[in-house]
Amino acid sequence: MEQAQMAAIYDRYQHTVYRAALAYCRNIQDAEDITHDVFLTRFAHEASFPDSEAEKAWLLRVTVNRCKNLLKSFRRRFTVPLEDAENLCETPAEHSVYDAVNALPPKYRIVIHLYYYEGYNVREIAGMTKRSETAVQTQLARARGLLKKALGEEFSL
Amino acid sequence: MKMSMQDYNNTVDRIEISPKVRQEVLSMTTAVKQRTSINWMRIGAAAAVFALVAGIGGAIGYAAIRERTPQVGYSETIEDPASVTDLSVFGLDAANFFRDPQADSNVNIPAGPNKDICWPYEGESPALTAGAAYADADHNLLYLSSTGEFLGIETNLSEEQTQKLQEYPEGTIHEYLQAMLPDFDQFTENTIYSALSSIRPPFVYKRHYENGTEDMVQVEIFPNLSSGRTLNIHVMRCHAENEHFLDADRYLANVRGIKNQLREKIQQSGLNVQVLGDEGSINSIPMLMRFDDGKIYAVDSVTMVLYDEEGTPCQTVSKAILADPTQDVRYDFFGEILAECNGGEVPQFGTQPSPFAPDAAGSTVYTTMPETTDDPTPPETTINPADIAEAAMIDGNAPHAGNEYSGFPLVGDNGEDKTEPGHVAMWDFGFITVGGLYTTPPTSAYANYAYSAKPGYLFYYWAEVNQAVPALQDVLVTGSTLLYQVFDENHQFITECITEANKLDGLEECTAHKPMFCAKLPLKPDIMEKTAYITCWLYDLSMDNGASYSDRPGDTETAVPIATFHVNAGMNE
Repeated sequence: MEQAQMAAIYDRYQHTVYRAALAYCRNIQDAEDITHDVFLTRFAHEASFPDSEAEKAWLLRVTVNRCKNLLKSFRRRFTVPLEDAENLCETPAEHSVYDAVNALPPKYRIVIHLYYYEGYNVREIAGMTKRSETAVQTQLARARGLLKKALGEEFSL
Repeated sequence: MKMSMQDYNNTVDRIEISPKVRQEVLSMTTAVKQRTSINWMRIGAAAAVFALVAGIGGAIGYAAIRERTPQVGYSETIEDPASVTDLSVFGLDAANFFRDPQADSNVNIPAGPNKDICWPYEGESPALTAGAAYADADHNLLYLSSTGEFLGIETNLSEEQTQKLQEYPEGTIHEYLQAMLPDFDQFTENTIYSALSSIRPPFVYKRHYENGTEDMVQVEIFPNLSSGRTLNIHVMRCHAENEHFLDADRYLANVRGIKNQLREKIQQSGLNVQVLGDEGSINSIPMLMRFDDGKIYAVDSVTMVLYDEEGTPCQTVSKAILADPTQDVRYDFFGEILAECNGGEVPQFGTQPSPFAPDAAGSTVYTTMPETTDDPTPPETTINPADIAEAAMIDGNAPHAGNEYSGFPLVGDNGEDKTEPGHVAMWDFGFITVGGLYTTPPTSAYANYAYSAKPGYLFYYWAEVNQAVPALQDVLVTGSTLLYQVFDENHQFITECITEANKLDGLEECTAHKPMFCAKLPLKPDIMEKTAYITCWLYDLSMDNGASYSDRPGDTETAVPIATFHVNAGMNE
């Protein structure tokens, strides 16, 4: 793969990968490391993709797996709060919703992120997260319930 | 204030990754591209070993690239290990080591300038936190602090080194430590810590400072699949000014670690903490802490290993629990990790007195129980150890250190199999430690556990005791009984079965075709003066295809352990 091609791939998907990693890990350092790792994996990956959507889905699947591995790491038990990212919120509503999403367990956060932010459907998310569609549906429902509980009546999906 | 998921999307839209990552990634790909003659098969195999040894999932491709890409973008602040470390005592050349950010991440090097954090609490062994991690082509790992101090090494030993170590363990280890730590003579062996290990090593050495802080060196040697033995030396250096400590100069290592874990809760309380007893230990918990409001809090710990359907450990969890005597502490016992192992299908759990702890009456220990079988709410454990803490302080008796561990049925309300493809029954366990703070040894320790599985599965379990206590009958009270209590998938008590404790390796008929059971292991009082581990394996005989009941783990290839648990009967000093 040529350098220019690698740069183009990186530029196209960098934020997608990073945002998903951040949603999962809630840790800037980890998210950067994972992004780093995911793109190196991508560049070593010889297979071609039929279209950009397939490539994006592949990258997200690798991202999710890397995040899972990181969180399973025997020595990695503690996380650094995501303080810098929280400064991105511009309104109280954004702050509340972003905080509420980030307070969800990782399995819920990533499903919420992929569904609402990336716009994937349940079947696609199930493929990315290696879970059954039923499990993803259940997790979505549970996550929505937790968000509503946290944010109250003012919150609507 | 109206809120919606669009608010989340708006925020995420503003998140951008640092440009330095782009620079790092693309500079590394340049290095890769220039090396067209790399033997990827060899590197891949080596990286696979590295990933296996280091427990780093997904590191293969990364490590392959990193192997010959030294110090790209990572060496700006850390000294070259060759300039500060002579590894010749291990037969290694420090000049061959390169900075390995993947290893960095696996020793939990945090963001920010303070990278010399020590004493994160990790259950039985404090983890190393380094300033920089290095690897060589053989995947030996070296850790240095941000100021270039030696912090650790993980290396495979040669046959010759292994032989020497076996013949002359202390002397060989001292030789290693003296080579790596010029001030090693300031350390003294911590016999308490070392003795806590049922099997030496680890060797633990400490250096005390006047302000109460300590440095600790821990040496571990353990079997390695590829080369026989792996040697780990970890130096935990304390810096009392580190922001990750809370009054670190007043507390010993594990207490700092526990406080570190509980930092948020402690900060929220606005109280200072006094540790009762002069020292806990790495293993010796629960521990009592008195806050300056006069209340006594108990700190307990839970360690779990979760296994997948192939019997492979997929997660180890060790967490501290701060139990507030004024209110129940609802501790999300499994949280997200359970789903990581098990596909996310976790039933709704409510709180009610545990049927799994028949002897826990009055101890206010609760196991959370499922209310429905199709809600993914993680199970929770509620522990209110107020009575435990008070009893311990007033009577001097060890508290009944009961942790509750509950499985969950994979059988639906109508008896359907809810086990997902690729996943089998969830098992959870914990170990219980009764610590050295108490003057009266406990008379028994309990392994309360429960297991849920598909009806029709047969289980038996087999117990053995570690080398410190070589025979099961030396541990369990003669004539004592092993109690199985059997529950159905609705957690209703069905029956119980009592068997002699020294016949644990037989199939317990009463567990056949029953979805759940509970057991208690009475231990001899004098065992409480030592640390004893009982390791039990739970076998799924449906996969055993007729294996003998007396088969030991490992005797048959078809018997797949689906769970283990440990009972750690703590020391009594």
